[in-house]
Amino acid sequence: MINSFFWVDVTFWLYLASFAFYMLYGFFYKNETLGQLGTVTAVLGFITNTLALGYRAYESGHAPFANLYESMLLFTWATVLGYLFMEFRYKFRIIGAFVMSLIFLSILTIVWLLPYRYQAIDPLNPALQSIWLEIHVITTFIGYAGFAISFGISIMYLLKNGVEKKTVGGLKDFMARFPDLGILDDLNYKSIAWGFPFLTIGIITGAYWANYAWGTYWSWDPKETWAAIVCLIYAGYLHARVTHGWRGVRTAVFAIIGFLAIVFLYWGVSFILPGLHAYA
Amino acid sequence: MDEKKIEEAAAAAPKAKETGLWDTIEGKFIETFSSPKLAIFIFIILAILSIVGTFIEQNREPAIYISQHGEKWYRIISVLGFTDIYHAWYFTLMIILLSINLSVCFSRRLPPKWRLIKDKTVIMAEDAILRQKNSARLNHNVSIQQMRDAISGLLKKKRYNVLIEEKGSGISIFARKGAIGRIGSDITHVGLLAIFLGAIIGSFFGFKGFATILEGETKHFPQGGFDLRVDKFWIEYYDDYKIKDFFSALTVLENGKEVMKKTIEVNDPLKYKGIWFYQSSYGQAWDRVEKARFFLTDKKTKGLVAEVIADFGVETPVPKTDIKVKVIGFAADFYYDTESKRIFSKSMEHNNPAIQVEIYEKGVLKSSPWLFAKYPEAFIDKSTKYFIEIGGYKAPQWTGLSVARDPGVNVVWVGSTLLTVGLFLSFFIIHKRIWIKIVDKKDKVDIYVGGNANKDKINFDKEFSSLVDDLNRVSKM
Repeated sequence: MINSFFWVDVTFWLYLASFAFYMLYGFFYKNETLGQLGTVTAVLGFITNTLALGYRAYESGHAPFANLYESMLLFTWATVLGYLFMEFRYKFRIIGAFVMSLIFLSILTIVWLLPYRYQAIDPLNPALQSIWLEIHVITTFIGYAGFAISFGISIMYLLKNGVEKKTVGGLKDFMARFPDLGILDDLNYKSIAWGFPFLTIGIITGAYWANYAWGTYWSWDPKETWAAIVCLIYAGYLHARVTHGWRGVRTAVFAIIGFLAIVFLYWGVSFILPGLHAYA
Repeated sequence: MDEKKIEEAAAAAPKAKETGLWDTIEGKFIETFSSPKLAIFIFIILAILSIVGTFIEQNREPAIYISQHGEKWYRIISVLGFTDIYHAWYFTLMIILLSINLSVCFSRRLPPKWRLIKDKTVIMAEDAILRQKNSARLNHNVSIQQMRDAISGLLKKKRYNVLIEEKGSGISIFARKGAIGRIGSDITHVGLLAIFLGAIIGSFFGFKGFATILEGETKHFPQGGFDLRVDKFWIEYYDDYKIKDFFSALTVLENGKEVMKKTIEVNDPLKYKGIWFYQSSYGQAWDRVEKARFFLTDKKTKGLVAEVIADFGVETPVPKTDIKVKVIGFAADFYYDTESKRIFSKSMEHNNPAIQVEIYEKGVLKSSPWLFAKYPEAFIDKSTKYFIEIGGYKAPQWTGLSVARDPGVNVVWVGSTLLTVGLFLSFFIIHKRIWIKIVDKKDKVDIYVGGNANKDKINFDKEFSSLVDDLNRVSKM
């Protein structure tokens, strides 16, 4: 029976495989083939992830962004796409070990952690029936993807920095594949340079849509407010970096705090703080 | 010139003419407000206040805070302004400080940046070229003209704007692109200021409201000097009876004349004279019914005698009896106020619908009881031998419209556009500059190449070394 659930399952196994290959490649074996396998399975996973979204859209008759289950599939989709783009461009497969671990956790959540009712296909409620749903959600999730990748790179930075400062011999070999600290810092900035403008567009299109549907572009709804908080954090990062020359550990920590705020914006607000934005 | 130099240029200027007291104050003011440290400080404060505002519900009734936090905490929360934190004086103050900060930064940073963008100094000394972030020194056995043409061709192919000057025995080349990216952040800042401005305009000259209008009724809107009539309201359902969408057919009337008709739905409002009407909610009238159905049973035999549908206010004969009923009142959520002895609906919900009827027997008014749809036996009318029960009713629908006028909203959208364009310019348009000097050494040439980029240095390193490779290849051609 081929349906969206089938493709989600296939995607799960492919992402798991990709995560495993990248880890083996990155930390345990000096074998390039493992890294290539990581890439191949990530690409295949991305394809089945696309199919899962496509089937879901076909089954429900609307854009598959109406609840947490569907939007998580979009999150993995956008993040893997962003990561593959980065790998293609900069050829640092080791980053895959970190990004794919996050992706694996996400898809694990989709498959096992989310209550079953989230998997049900619901018809779109009247407020969501608009072309702005697609525009707003896609731009927002490109933003999330950029920040997720930046989170992975920041962790790498802190690990490598910690090891280099203490110069523990064994661990240093362990991180032989890590790019230089300067490059990690730069890649971190690049991911945020994608995340920030797209999250901003996501907020603006959301505001435009809210104004068209309800007559207010900003109502201090918890989701809106937390999106603004995330923007403030990353705006702080950008100003610290550009005008104060902050680099390295401090910006990495900043980016990690920013991503934790994203997690709260995405999950915490939906579950803890009630508001208009109760879908995902 | 780099970010650092722009910083220095921005910071150094005010110290030059500090003479009077006013100049000192002005100098201090500019020093404080041109500092990005202040911006980061404001970001942190705004973030903390916003977080507080998401954990304490905003603009609720005191009773809700007291039940959630207790009376003592409610008093503290309330004194601190946390119940409406986004409109508290300190929140507004932070936005004002941020706006001043933005304006001062903008005016101090733009001029040096602008000079940098406009800078067309082609000639740079050899050692200055070699001091650039990326640099190389080559020499080749080709003629100086050949080298110049080759370099200029290469750079133009990479979409650089190429300037060439010849002086003495050397040729200087200055290639640049993406200078506009330098002012991306300034455009973003102007956009943010415009958004604040739009919000201020909206809060002073706009209004927001909510109107419930019954189907068929007309409501006057003094803000626009026109009337709005709801011709029809209806709901569409999915197959599983979930609500798909709801609609109101509206007519705008000016001095009694129809000037506009539109059917609005969720996500598709009506706009007239700058006032927007949004489909927001709906419900059934709580104080009137159009018609009601009654069942009459014989109190003794308990058998159903007749069924009748009565329009509001119309004496309606019940078949097979000498009874007439007339519907004279309705309350959706029946409430009897013992003090005023008045009956009304205590909410808009149909929690306890009750209909008041007049019962006539042989043309004589016998009684006028309230009948309860949910509790038919709560009150049994003793005036006739029939037991009367409500078998349903039809109340007119009302449509709930959000009404808003916001003359600042377009300023907000212009600001949002600038903000976004600015972000893309500053993140993705990279200012790259390359200086080259070719020195003629008879049968060969010395070439000095230097350059820098304000961002994305990894890629510029690659681009620069591929340029050097290309230059090395020129001599072999």
